[in-house]
Amino acid sequence: MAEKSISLSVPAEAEFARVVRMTAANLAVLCDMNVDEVDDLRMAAEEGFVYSCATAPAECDIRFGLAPDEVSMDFSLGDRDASEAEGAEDLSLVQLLLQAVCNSCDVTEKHTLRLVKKIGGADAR
Amino acid sequence: MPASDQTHAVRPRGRLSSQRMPKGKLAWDKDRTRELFRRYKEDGDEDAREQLIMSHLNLVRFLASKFKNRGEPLDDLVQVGTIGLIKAIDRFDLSRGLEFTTFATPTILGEIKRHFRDKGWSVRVPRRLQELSSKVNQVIDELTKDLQRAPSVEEIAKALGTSVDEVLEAMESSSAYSSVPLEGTGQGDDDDAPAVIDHYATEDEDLAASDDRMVIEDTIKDFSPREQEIIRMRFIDGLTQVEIAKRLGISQVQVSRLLRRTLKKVQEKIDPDGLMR
Repeated sequence: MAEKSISLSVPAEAEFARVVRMTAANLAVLCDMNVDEVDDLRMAAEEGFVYSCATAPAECDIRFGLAPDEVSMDFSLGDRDASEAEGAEDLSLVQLLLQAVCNSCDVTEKHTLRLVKKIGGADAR
Repeated sequence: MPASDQTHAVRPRGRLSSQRMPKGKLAWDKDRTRELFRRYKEDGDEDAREQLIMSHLNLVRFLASKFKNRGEPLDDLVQVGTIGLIKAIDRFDLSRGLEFTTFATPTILGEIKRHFRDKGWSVRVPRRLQELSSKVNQVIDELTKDLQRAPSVEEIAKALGTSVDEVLEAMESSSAYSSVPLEGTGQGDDDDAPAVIDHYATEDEDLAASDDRMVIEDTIKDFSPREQEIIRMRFIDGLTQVEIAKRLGISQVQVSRLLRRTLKKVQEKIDPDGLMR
């Protein structure tokens, strides 16, 4: 299966976290992720959105990539330094959670937070 | 993301340190944590262990909060997570150069997940959703009666003491399969709760355009004006019982009774010998 792509653009406001979270969960089900992986992806989607919002983008654009062995989520970031955001202490918790539930989480040079979750891979034990 | 976008190397199946991910302000004093670990691991200082536990409880609380609204009290989850934290403290090897929080987070998450697994949470998910789905329908009926309008999902979640997500999931699962009759809730002859179909009913353009409309019109032509009106509103205009009640200035319960009586007449006319029953 070639990678399939789904794009979502939502206002960078807390109340839209649910839309992102449930989209991620539904896509996880389409990828035959098990219940723990669905949970992980849902958590990762929410935390990724929180991280994106902390950088104050005009809108949060999310691209979900579905590959045979992994699901990726790319969150657009704004120009604000996340470490300067209000509640930046919580952001360090967000990062820890992302590292624990994703197989990789990186900020690219194009202002994108990229999260990858393997299907059938390791999850938090 | 464009393929040309440069990312940092993806380590397969690893817990990544995300070296270049901008860090938030640190919630922990790294140097103090190292010193406490040195005192605990090298000198067996129990007070240092205690301080390590206390200073990382915010991490436990944060992680536990991610599992709230799943039928387990948050305090219990914090307690379970604290056990994970203590395990992580006891297993942590300072010499490996890993940040303690990076090491501890999967351990704490794992302990919380195990707690749910031990209670059969994973296997119960479909049943849990199924049960919730039935409760959602029940609460929708109750709230519709109380509020005299369709409740919001938030109101349903509040009434059930669960999250909006769970209600949406339950609605999703119930729309995929439902054993509940579309008209009435199937709970007896005195069942005047709004029909399940009311929760989902919208104008069905296909129906409106089909021969069914003519069949209905033909069937009800000698019914009383009120009966004709109510059948048209319900099955041609696609109004809910609550909407019909509002238009006619009567209660939803009266609409339900009128509809049931009228439908019985329709049935007797279309199928007088009961062959379709």
